[in-house]
Amino acid sequence: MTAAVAYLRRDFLVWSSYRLAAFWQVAGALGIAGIVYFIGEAVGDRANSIPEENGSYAAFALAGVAFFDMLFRGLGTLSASVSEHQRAGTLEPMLLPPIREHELLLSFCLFPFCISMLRTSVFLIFGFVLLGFWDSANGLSILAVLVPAQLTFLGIGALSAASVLLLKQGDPIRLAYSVAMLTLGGAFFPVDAMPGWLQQLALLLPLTHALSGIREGLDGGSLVDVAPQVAVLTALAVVCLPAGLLAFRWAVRRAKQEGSLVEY
Amino acid sequence: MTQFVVETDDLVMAYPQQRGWRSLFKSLPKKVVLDRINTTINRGEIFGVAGPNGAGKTTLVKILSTLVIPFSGSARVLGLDVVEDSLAVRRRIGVVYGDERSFFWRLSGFENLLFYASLYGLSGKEARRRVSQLLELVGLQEHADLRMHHYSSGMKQRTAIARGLLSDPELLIMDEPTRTVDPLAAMELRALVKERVIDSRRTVILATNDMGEAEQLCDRVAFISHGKIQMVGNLEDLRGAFQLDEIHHVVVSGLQRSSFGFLRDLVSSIEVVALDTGQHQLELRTAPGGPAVPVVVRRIVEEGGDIWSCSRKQLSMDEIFAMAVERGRQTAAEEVLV
Repeated sequence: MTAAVAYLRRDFLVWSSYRLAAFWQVAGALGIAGIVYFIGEAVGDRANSIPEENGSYAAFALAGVAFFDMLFRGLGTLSASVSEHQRAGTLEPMLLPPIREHELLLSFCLFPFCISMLRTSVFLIFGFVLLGFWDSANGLSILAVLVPAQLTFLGIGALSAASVLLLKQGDPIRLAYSVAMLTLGGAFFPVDAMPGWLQQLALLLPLTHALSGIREGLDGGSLVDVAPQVAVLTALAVVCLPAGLLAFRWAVRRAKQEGSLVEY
Repeated sequence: MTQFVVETDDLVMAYPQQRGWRSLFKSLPKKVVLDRINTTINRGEIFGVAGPNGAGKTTLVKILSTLVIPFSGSARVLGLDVVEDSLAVRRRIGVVYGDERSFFWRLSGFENLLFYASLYGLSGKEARRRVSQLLELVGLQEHADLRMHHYSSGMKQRTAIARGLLSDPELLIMDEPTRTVDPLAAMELRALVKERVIDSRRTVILATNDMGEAEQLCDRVAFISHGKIQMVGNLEDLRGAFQLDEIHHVVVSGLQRSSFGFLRDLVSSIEVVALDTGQHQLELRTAPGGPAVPVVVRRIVEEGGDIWSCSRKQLSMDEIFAMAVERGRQTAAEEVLV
């Protein structure tokens, strides 16, 4: 726990030392929210095939972007942290203190997770306050979907970090997953709009279930309504998280055997 | 409790010659970089690991600090196996890197050390007190709040020493701590280590390729070359291993160069060099500990010569280093692959 707090504090100090970059991270979210809104306006009535959000493309896409941003960071943060520490020469010093690999991984993602929460909040506040979306949202349902979704993405992120340790520059897991999530996850357009076989493929992605459950919650769906998504995501989390942590532990051991911890 | 802080048993390290996804599925040839290292380090000792670049020093200290897992053999630190008990080993050792990149440059020295202190389980006031103490110890208390990208290389190394001491370790491992600093800063760092870091409770391993540093700081030195320990010992042991004869320089006037033949029966060998001053410098090699020098001096005076100076020449650490490396080269097998 002390290690996690130490990382949180360190990451905050580094982040806040780049004041302009920190400002742009928040302002950028506002900018994207604005773009999504204008696209929604342009699409107008043509979005009436969207079953959720009363046919509002802006509400649909804003929810998609907000939570895609959060979950994507959960996926990419770990491998990015490992890669950054390799390049900065700080990975070995990180592995010298008496902390376990899984503590290290969780510590790596704590602050980026806070930042992604902040950005997601910006998207949601923009939609809720300025555009009047989601006035019947059920926070508990959203949380029930988010927790197993984040844990699933954390597990995949740990797999991705393991691949960075072993393969250095290449991160095929993150790359493949990002492309699949962007195209099939249902963040920017409904999964129903795709051909049938792609819809089947989309069901294999945790993002599809996560966004579907979150949108249900934003529309006021109860815990019972989101139960199918929660069940799928929990099952995925139970598989992905331990697998990711074990893979990372194995990758650290392997890199130590090869003497390649600091190579990138 | 074992008296040895470090014990290695036939320690071998071999790095794969190729890396990447192929190595995950197939056993690729490996190059041996440490070849059957057997050594022990006593409690409270300052132990030098010396050798040229690429000799295997850093690999050895990385194995002892649990950052590299050996190919075969074993290493125990403070009675604990470095592979099986790596977490427990890390609790009890401190490591000082020569690489100044190992800090977060956007943070101050104080913030960096506070971060690492937390990773060693120190928190709150205890952590702050420890960090302040150490910054004072290394002479950086006035620069504690300065971001580290404003630090000079010497200051970064001082901070690295402070970081190594955060957990008050029983064993401190220093990997070329003066590698990136200028000679003056290196001298100051050595003085800092000698006067403030080394104490009787703590064992120190110092990897270096600076023989002066090894001579100044270490009780014993292991010379590594071509992945093997060529020899281990204190300075006298090492000199004894290479310096088979005593060498004396005697500056003489009043005798002709051709007239020194009378000394040949008294010494193993003699070389005469004419100096610009008209004097001659004799380099005499004699059996160690024998009575040759007083006899030689007496004979020169009896022959009418005047003696201006007489000194004993000892092999420097650099000369011993060069000889050890040469020995390593001669005994090294061709590139070993496993």
